[in-house]
Amino acid sequence: MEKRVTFGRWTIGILFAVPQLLLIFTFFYWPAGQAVYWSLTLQQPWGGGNIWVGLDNFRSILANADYWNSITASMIFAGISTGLAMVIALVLAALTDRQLAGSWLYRVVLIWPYGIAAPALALAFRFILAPEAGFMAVVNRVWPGFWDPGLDGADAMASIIIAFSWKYVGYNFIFFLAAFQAIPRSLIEAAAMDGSGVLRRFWDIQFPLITPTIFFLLVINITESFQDSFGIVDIMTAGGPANATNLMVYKIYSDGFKGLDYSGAAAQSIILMLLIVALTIVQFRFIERRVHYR
Amino acid sequence: MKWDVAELPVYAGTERKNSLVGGASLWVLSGKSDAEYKGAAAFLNFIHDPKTALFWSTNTGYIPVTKSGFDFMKSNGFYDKAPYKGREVAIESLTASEPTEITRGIRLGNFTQIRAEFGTQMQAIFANKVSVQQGLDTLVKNGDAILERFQQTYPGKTLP
Repeated sequence: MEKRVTFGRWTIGILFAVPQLLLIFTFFYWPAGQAVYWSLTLQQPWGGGNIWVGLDNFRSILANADYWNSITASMIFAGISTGLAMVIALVLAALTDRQLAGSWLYRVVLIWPYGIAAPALALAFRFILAPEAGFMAVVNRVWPGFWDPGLDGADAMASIIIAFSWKYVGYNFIFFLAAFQAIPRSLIEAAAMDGSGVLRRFWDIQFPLITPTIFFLLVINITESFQDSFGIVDIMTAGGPANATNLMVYKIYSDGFKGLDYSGAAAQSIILMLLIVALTIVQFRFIERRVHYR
Repeated sequence: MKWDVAELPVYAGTERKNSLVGGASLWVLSGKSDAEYKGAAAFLNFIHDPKTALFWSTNTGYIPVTKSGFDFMKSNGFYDKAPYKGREVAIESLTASEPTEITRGIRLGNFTQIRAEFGTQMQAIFANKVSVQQGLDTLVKNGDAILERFQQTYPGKTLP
């Protein structure tokens, strides 16, 4: 006798899926399709029509030195902030996992930064890293002219990297800690009885066993550094000085919503989407090979 | 510390020009009905009124847009005490000279993009990343490209 509950007709199943499909269509496929259409036309910002231009928008963007500068800035930002956020979180999680004194406190506190909205934390860091008042003002007094994110592009890039990494250390920490705690204690205790030190246990036992988590966080961090950086850039630098922090996602916003170049912004967002897809494919093809799933 | 509001300095031997006006603008479009134009005229009349200027500036912080509005506010003692003291400097700066060919308000296609480009190149110049001439050359080149794009978006149209 058939024990499973099944639907008599396939239409009922479809009906149950309809609300979800409708949501995905309305909020993803429709806007994405619209963006593709806009990127192939020149839209008049106040309405009134558009002209089909084929791939001209893409051609003019890819011929633009500012756009390549924006891609470079995004890559630098993604690379450094992902590296910083992951390494710091890994070290913190490894230390917390060792049950050092006060680790229960870190477990609670280190998760908080991820709960703070990007613009709010950007505002906080804007004060902390302000060259005229705040923490960096003290450094500037000892070493005049050392820190000036308003004029120096590298300083501005450093400030958004610091703010972004600070937020994602919290996020990565949760996952790393969970991964460490999922490792059977007996493995580590056995290694300790065989006389291996803390670092040896880390590299030979813990690190290989958490590679799936590392890989997952690498993909998430790189993707988010292309997208979640918007709020931080908008509040802290607004893309300046002289386009030094004009990341791709911020350039889409400023060209599209401030400059009213909807077609150019749509084309840029499609390039950004393709770039993220390409990066993710690369990571899955070349880095995932080195991941050991249990 | 003593703080005050002042106009931007100019180099010795340079004649001070009026500063460029910026901000929102009100437009009345063509091709509407008579009744709508009556309404638009009544609204502009209301905005134009000095008493409205006083109310508007007090509540928003914007400057009055007419000289009669400014005079009315001044005679009312608006600029005499905190927190509005010093705001008359903005009017002085805007009316420092008769508007010249390069300091009158401009109407350009894709103006906001060109203005952003202006800001970017100025930052590059002030940060010593490029020389003044290089920065201005880039600004002209990029500005032209933005204008050309506007022209492509509205082919065959001329500004009235």
